[in-house]
Amino acid sequence: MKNNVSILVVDDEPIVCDSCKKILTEKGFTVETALNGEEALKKFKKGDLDIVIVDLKMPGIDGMEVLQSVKKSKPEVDVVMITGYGTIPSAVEAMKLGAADYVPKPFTPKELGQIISQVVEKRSKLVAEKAPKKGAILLDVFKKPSKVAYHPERVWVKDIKIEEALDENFLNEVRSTPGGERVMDCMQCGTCSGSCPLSYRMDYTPREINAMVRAGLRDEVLSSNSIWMCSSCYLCTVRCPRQIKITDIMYALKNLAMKDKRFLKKAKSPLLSKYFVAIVNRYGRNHELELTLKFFLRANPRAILKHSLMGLRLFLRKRFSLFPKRIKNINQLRTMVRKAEALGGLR
Amino acid sequence: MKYTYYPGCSLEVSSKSYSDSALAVSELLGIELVELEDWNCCGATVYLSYEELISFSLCARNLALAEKYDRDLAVPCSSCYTSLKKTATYIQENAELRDKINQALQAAGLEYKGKVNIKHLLEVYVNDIGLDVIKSKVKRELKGLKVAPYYGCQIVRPLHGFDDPESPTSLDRLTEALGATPIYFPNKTSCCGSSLIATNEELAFRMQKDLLLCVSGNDAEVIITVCPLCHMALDAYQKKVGKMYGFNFKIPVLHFTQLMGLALEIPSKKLGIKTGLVPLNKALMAYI
Repeated sequence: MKNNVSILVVDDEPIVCDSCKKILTEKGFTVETALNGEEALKKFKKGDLDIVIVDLKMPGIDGMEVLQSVKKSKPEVDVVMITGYGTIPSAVEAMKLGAADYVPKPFTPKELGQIISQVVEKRSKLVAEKAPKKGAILLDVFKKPSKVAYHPERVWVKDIKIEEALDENFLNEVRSTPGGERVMDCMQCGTCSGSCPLSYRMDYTPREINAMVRAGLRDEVLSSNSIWMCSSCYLCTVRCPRQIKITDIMYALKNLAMKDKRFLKKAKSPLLSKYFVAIVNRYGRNHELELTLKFFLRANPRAILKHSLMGLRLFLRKRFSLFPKRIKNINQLRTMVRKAEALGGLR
Repeated sequence: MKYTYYPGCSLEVSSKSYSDSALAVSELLGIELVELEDWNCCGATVYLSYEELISFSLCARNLALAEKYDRDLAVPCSSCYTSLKKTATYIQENAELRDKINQALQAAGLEYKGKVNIKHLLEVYVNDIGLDVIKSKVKRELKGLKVAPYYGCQIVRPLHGFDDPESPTSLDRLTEALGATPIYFPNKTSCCGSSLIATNEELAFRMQKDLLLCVSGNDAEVIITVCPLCHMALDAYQKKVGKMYGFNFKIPVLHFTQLMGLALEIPSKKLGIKTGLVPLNKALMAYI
């Protein structure tokens, strides 16, 4: 009988791995094995596992460390410890750290089978309990139907994450921005998302972003591509029946992401902003050629070649200047910028 | 009538023809545009994404400089217009922001009391001068010329008040005053995607494709713009956009002041008519 539970067995003794694999495969589980902690963590990162069975004592990364890293990155994965003679106190310690159960060595096929069946049963009960009930609107907001198929387990995971990852201050940061004051007035009508010319490509639509800001999902919002897709056309803002300035909220979010650099991985817009800011601070005005070259050299050098003909044609029509123009009182501007910087921004 | 003129960075070089034609047309209409001395970049969408307070302060410096004169501030670029106008509005509405901006200005020996009235150049022509006056100055009616009056997004949004944010008419009416015919153009306020051209070309091109398809589908002979960034997006990238989607777009793009200049019989060289990358077509050559 085949079921959809996948298990990783980790033990430095090949014979233990092999026999576990045989026992569990017969019971219908999908089983992988690893002979040490390193290999185990690699396989764990790659695969979509449900249960890890790991020997407590191993050279290198031991069972306890495997347990800790698994629980840290995917708390929903169950870990069962294999313990030898005299390691029962460690097994108890492991249970405290979140292990689901332990199997003392030596064990019979029946013993192993029983323990794993218990773990699987517990899992399915939890999933059933935590699956969204009808009317669970809040949960629904955080699903991404376009990219992630509906898995009850995943919703369960997200549910836990929502509880843990709430950042109450996030909402206040957005509300303290000019234009962000009315975010609490959002009634989730979706006019913004329907109006946005780019929402179809966003990780979360503007409507979802509003809900997530209110819920305090700081990391999800700031690492999403949505904020960098906003082209600042203000159509959402002029159409919002609650007069929420969504474009301004997007600017606030861009600023917050800029401050916390870990959110800037995928998007190219932050890089463009960085160079633009440096040029304006240096000359007081933009220098288009310098900005274009600097940005593309770093972001996409091939684009320079691709656009070179267009650049040449613009240059021949005197629409490109080789040299920047500096304003006369640049020191005044720089003093002002420094002071504004010292004031620490708006939040 | 005298205005303080804030050209903005794009009009200095890449869209100099916009500035040249604006100055020439204004002069003919009896408007004196006095360039704001030592103005600085408005920060546009790019600086605002980086740090809002500094970006607002950059605009506030311009406003402080402009306040020394008792004149309205005329701005030809929609992006600068929105940045300046937004700053002026928020300075009035938000006490905390006002306080911080004032501190930054004071450190640089400046002060802004909140008195500058900011207007887009289109607003100046249509509302302050008036279409009747413009019509009376037209020397060569652009009879039969089919024009796509493209507003783009930022000139009418967010709620600047001089025209409808979704279905504006000022540029259509101006086009008619010149004797030309505005085409049916339902997405005349759709975004051209210019703020994404460098960072997400594919998305920007798709937005431009939709615009160009609507324009060519309704037989426009020329597109007129009120923003140098829209002009750059639709003119300089038109060929690439067409290539990507398999269309052979060949619609000349003019700054609206250039089209006005043609009707007012200002020499085309002075208007910089031939500085666009899309070559002029027969319909336009008839007026040059």
